[in-house]
Amino acid sequence: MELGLIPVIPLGFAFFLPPVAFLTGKKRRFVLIYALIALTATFLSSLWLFEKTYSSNTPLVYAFGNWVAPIGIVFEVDRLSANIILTVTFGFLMAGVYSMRFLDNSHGLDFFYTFLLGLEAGVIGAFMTGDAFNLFVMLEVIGASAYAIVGFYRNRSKAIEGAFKYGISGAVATSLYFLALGFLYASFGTVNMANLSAEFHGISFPVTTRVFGDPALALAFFFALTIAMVLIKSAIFPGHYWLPDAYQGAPIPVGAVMSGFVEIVGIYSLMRFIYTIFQGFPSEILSLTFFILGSATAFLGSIMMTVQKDVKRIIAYSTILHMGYLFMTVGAGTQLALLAINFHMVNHAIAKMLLFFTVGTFIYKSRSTELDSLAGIGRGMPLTTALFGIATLSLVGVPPLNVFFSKMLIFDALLQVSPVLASVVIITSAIAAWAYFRLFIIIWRGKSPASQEEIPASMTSTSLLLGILVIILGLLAPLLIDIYFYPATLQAMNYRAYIEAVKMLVG
Amino acid sequence: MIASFFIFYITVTLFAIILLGIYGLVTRSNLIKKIIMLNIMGDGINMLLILIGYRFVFPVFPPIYEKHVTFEEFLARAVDPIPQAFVLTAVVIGMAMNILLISYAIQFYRLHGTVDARDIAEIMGGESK
Repeated sequence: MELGLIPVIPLGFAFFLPPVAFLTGKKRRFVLIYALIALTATFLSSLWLFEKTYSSNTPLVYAFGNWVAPIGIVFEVDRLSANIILTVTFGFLMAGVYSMRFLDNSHGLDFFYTFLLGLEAGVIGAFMTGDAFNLFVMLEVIGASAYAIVGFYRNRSKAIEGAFKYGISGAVATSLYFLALGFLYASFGTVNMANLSAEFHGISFPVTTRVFGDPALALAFFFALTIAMVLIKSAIFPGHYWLPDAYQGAPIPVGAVMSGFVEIVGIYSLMRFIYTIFQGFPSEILSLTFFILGSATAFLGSIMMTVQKDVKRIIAYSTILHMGYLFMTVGAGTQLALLAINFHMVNHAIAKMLLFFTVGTFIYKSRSTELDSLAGIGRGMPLTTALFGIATLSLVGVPPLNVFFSKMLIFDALLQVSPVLASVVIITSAIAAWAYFRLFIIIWRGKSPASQEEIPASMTSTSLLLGILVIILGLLAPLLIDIYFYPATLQAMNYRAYIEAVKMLVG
Repeated sequence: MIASFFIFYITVTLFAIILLGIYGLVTRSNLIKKIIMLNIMGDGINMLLILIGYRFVFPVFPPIYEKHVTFEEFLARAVDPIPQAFVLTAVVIGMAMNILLISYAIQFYRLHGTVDARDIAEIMGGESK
């Protein structure tokens, strides 16, 4: 099996889902089985990829149509991408299982799964790609699926408003990235990541192109426009405005995958550019940008969490808060920072999915997202409430649970820069803890509503699985960091190996 | 001399168009006008990328290498096809985005009877902030 096939699996299944569903008379059972087969196949293939990258010493390269590096498009997967991809495919599988019963009463289940699979293909492609232009295409694949799936409840004005806002902001963001690619191509004459890195570090590369103009100026424009893209795509402070509306309108499983995986694509691409490709780019001003905007985002997210009246908006601002942490840490520029970002991406995705799923179960039962109508709902569902408690404790950063360890790494990475920055993590966590505590009190106290809605086993079991993972990842965190995440950062920081892997293919 | 002035003139115009697009996107409250402004901005960017690959010489060669031309002359005169490939991809993607956004604008109209963002904020009681 070739690694270039992995994003093709969900994409191919997604393409054929609407006609196949139409021909079989849109039977729910058929659509569900089809989608679950696709999601499981993708998860299994990413397990294979994970095993393969960790057993190989160099990054794996796949050239499309055997067109070698600077001429054709390549996929380049190292351990950093592989461990995030494993989390992504696992999360999408969980979201697929969860949506089976969550979307009981909605029409258009076949389109929901089409866009979910398309979203998965885009996210995996963005993490695998070794070509800056291909990253733009993958961002648009993610965008097209995400704008469509956010407006899934198309008769609710909230959903349409959120989707339109997200759509138009996202389209501007990707256009700016396209302009950034123009600057990059005009100066370096290539958009292949390994080739760019070779040009930047003065390493010879086949089919070399001479650098035109002042590469430092072109890179400055490139980074400015790429950061502008990331500000919108990853919801960092001036570009965060679309996120609460989009999440409020979107179905819960969509919110879970968006928060865990779609948002981190922007951060990941920035990280790839700064830590691997243009490693050593003089970055004092860049770092300052990351620190200021990241801490502003963290404060904004945590403070806004405490004043919301809608439970989905609380989680949306919590996502903004965590994106702020990640963005801040990108600025530190050390290997420890890379380790912290990588581990936090995985941990945050799992804990945030658990939070979304348990809150989704409450919403499923009460049929409302207003905080007032959720009062006392937790009384009748002790298991879900316990899992909800675990998710909130984990996201706040309570020791034996998983997010604590990644937050500690972020704290360490920022402490090397300045104690003031490190204290931002502590203060915003404390504010967020107050918001979660308030939410928990509302859900636990008050009279339990007389709703007789049965909670489906698929929803409880996925939440339970994620809850167990939160605890296990927390308990084994030191071990996991040593075995999996530390080698991943070592490989990601080694730009020579990154270039060599592509050069070897050219022969 | 004339060529470099021409390049400068076009570049400045295109940047002005891109900035105008962003300005319109932010200030207009009509959703259809927002989509139009997005397209103006996108087309400005596309033109700029085409300009990167273009050669201001006469005659311009097609980007297919032939034996009777020296390699240096080919490099100086052949138009770079890669930015055109980029723009082709971006144009196709842009069309898909347009269809999606316009379908949302239509759905807006069905739900509210208007495509003006100010009216919608009023209908939702300022809650949509």
